[in-house]
Amino acid sequence: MPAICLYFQVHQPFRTRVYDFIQIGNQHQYFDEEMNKHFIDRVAENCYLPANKLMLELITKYGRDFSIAFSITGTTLDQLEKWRPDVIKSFQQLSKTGQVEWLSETAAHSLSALYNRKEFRRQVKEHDAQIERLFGYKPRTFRNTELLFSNDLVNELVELGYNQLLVPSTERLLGIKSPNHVYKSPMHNKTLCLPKNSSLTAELTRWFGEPDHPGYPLTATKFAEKLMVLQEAPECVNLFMDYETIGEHKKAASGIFDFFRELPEAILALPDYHFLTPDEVFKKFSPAGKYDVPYPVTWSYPTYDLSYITGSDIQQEAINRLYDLAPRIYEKNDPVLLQDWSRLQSTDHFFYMTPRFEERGERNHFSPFASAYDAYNNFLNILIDLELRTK
Amino acid sequence: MSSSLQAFSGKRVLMLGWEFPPVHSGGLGVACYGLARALRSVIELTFVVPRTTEASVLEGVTLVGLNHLDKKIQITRPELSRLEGSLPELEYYQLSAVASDSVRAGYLAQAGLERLPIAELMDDQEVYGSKLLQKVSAYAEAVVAKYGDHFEFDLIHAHDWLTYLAGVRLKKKTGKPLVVHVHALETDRAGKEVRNTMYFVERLGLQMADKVIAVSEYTKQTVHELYGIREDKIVAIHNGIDPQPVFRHEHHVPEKIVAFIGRLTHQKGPFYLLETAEKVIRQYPHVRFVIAGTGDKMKEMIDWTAYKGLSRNFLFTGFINREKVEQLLAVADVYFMPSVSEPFGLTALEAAQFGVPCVISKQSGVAEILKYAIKADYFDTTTFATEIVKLLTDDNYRKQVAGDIGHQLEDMKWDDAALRVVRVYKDFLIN
Repeated sequence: MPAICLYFQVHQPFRTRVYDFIQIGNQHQYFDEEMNKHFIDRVAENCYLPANKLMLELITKYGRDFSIAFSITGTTLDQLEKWRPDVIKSFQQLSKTGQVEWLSETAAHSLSALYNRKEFRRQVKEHDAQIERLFGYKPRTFRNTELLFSNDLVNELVELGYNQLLVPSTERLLGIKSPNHVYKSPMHNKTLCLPKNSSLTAELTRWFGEPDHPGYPLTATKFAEKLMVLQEAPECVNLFMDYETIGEHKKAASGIFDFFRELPEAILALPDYHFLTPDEVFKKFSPAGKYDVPYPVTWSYPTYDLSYITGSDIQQEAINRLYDLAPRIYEKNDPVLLQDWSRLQSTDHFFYMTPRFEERGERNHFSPFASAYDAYNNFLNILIDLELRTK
Repeated sequence: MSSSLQAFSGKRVLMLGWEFPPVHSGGLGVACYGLARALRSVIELTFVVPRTTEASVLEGVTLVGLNHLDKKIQITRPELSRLEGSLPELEYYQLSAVASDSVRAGYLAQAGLERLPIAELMDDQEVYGSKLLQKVSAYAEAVVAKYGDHFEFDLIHAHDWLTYLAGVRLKKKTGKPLVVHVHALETDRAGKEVRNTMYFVERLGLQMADKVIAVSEYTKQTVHELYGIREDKIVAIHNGIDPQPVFRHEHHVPEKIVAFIGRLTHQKGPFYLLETAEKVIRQYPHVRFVIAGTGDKMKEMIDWTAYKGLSRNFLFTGFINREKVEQLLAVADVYFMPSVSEPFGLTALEAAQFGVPCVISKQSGVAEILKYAIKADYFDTTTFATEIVKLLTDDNYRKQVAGDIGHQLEDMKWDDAALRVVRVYKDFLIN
């Protein structure tokens, strides 16, 4: 009985305002309320509301045969609670069906797992508490920012109570293995890993609606056919992607809503196929082997590492300086200071600083800044102020 | 101003410029404004710039923005190819050879531009920007169209290479004397060996001028040596600075502040700045270099600070407006200008006005007049560093240097500079 495992990542950062040197020491509002509200409104209208509505329709229609998993970052939830309680409500409505699994992660979509373990534990607990408060759900499966994972993290996660993990996959890591199974970590006998099926997910996240891609236009039926020709009999096909794929990264006009509307029917028509949440997958299938991840890997295309986030000297300088503040932030014991510091840890801020796009003569479409160096300068001004507040 | 200047009544000067506050990006605009303001009581001035806004006002001066030009005036063809006859044969050949590559390519690549109304081209938010050569050419065309036939004036005064083509053509058409005013040279920006379009346009303007005003002895020498202009045709007139309200603010960062204000280009010595900074930081870590400005060397400079792990001692502001420049000067402890080649360096005077001691390179015009500023060769980063540390650590020394420089400014008003400019006019206007 093979399963399709759908997990959607929901994330919006607190984007920073233009913070120039005059403001240093004078005012500590780092985030651009107006811009953030604009983005939240836009993604709510393009994706969250219509996609939630669609998911609810599908759950109502297919009952126990259709289920999904969400991971929503704390930075997103905080902004939705403030500006779009209607979106929170629609997620809660989905949650009430019992067909949705909520995943654990860091509250700020941060790389604290690599830079400060104490902060990592704090953010995971903060996030889990928020999920429990809003959805009455205690997460049982963990996914890290950018799906970042390495063997190194396993013991930390075991101590936090997590031995069900969603992890990235690359050809190099998989070797001759297939991503379509549950695996065991070589670090801990009871820790299970569920690798993302990168190529099938990319059919949606990257290639959907691209006229030059073979098989365009992709339909649910054509997608189901791809499952039938998988070389090795799959147990679970793990499609992990940004929720914003539906309606924001891929606009409604691309037909992405229709694709998902028709997906359950096409999948359920295949012999024995059904939908399971990660938690159900972990319970149902025994590990097919060990999944050894000796170095940090992420789901970010095309490098599957952190090179777009911490790959340059300026990105490293910025992130190291931010985490250098940790002892003093904890010492201050000031909730506002802690929250500011935490929100500045979102990987987005460092992603805006990657020089990769400009080197290729492209623009970083996710960045509100004109250039990587503008993003860096602005972040460092904020950092100077934050450093002053911890003195 | 002296009463002998009454002889000027009724005389009109057509000034051709590129920057005029608030539409400006650097020292050129500040200098043109200062000069125009001091001259307006002596002589009738019309000042033509590519673009004006509602806020562009100077009482007593007719300010003309070509972005308001009649829409019917259109670009017809590349200006630089029309200079036939205005240059010795060999030089025309050189100029058109260079010009044909850059200008014509720029033009023809953009089909349809030839029919573009000039006003539209000039209405560009960027003072320089990517269409600069087209704008320079169109500026000349517009000035000749507007003033070549219908306007009575007695002398043309053109500021920097951007307006030299216009000045030269207008002189040829009207026979009026041409004064060109050198605020900066391509050889400062791009190095002594440069021989590009800008260089040849500059040389054309300098050769065709009846008189050349250079903003310093330093620039006068450069015009003579690198452009082959007779020394007796060049007069050095330093820029001035008028008293203005200044203020001091408390530091908002705990470190001592060394301010750099200028474009981040080779000319401004960015890597001598970094080398000096590193030496200063080694001796006195409680310092922050605030780098205000942007340019093609910014990324490399920022990378360097990150690579060295010295980002805590720097702050890059990007381009900042007038108001923020003042805010920076109001908190700065030292002003540092290690320019490799600086015709003048007006910001050093502004810094001095704000009571900030200046550490400047000897290769700058302003070094000729700031007797008490700390000076060293632009490459002498050890001396720069030693002096900066001394200023940062010895309060009495800092106050003394700042005070000495400040007193000297009282003798540098724009009226004095204007008087010397008027003496240049006199040779042509009073027979």
